[in-house]
Amino acid sequence: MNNRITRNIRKNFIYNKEFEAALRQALQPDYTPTDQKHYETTRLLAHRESCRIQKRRRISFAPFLAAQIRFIGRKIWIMQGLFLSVIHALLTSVYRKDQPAYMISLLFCFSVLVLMTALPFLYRSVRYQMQEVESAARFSLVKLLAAKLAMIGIGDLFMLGGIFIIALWETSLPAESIFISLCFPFLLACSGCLFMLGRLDAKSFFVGSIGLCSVLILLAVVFLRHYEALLQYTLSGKWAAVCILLLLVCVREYRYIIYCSSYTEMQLT
Amino acid sequence: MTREDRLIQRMEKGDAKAVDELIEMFYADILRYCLFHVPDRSLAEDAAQETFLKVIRFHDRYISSRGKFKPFLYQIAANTCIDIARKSRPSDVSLEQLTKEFAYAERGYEDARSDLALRQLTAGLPDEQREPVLLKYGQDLTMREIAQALDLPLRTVQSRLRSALKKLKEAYREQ
Repeated sequence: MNNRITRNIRKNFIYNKEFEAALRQALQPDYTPTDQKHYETTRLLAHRESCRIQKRRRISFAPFLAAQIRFIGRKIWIMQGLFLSVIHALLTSVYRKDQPAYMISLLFCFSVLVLMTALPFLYRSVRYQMQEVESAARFSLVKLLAAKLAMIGIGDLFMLGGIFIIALWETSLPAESIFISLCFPFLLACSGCLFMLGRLDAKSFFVGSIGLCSVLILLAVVFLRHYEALLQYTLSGKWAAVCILLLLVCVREYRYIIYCSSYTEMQLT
Repeated sequence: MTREDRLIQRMEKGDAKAVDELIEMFYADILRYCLFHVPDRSLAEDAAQETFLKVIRFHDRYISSRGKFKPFLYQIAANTCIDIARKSRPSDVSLEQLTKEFAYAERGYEDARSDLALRQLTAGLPDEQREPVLLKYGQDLTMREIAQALDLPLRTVQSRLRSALKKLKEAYREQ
């Protein structure tokens, strides 16, 4: 067979297929002699390389977040769950039907307190002097912060939802009023805290956030009588615009922290 | 999903057997490819070894590119051979060298001479024409795979291969 192909090619090369067959035969010898020792060395080195890669394999944000839930997420959510049950008890026992403004004030305070439940977890690494260890680890501090914020955000969302349902169930307040009373102060406190998180060092952020939240709670308590007016509002376009604006501020501040701020450096100062 | 994709997936999970299977599947082909590109056998073996180590090191790029495995493998092999050949200041692949590298003993003298002449002619082609010939007839890659491996448009590969074949045929006829 091979001889026939060769003879054909020698005679004339009219047929491309025959020439291609001869070329294939020439470039693919029956076997390529391999040095068994070198082959084994290649296998051994490949195994080592594979192990090395496995050890320092980069993980994407989703598995990282899932891993963080094991370490810190559960604690955050347990604390928030406990807080929600306290709020439930307060709303069912303290609620005065004759004073809806009191209720609005209470909801305002609760929404700020919801945010405040997250502050100890953001301050945790400073409290236990863990910043150096975290920064020396193979994941970035910003990624860790993003995971914490994601877990806190999920927890806060559930808590606000829970308070909303409890308030709707236990009180006679209209849904719009409850929504505004929870959303507005929460987003206000949130945007303020995120603003400080991206610009202040850890200790100043903690003090500043506590200060801001305290001021908001104080405002809710001191100006209690003015909340009567709030009850008149429904979820009008104005309120929706304010809430959306605050939400946009939060998103902008979050992006600033993740992509622009010198968060890592500030944590280590 | 191809067998190679499954092996890469297993490798990703840390399966040592997948590494073995991958090397077993392609070692001879890659070594043969490297023998055409570097001046001597020990360097070709080093190039083949380095190719597999790079495949393991950069397999996540293959996963993220979602391409075909063979073009990815041969692209790495080509780059590795270029690096090694550059470091070792290569001379042209000699006829004697090629004779030593492949086995002819079992075939007839006439066939062996014919093969040798074709290999020599292929080695003498310009780089841009030789590479498609080696990948197409030496490694059985499809046109599309060659285009991906060489990072060239399909049409360019086709025209280069056509010119190379024409040149080879003419040169062979003149011999």
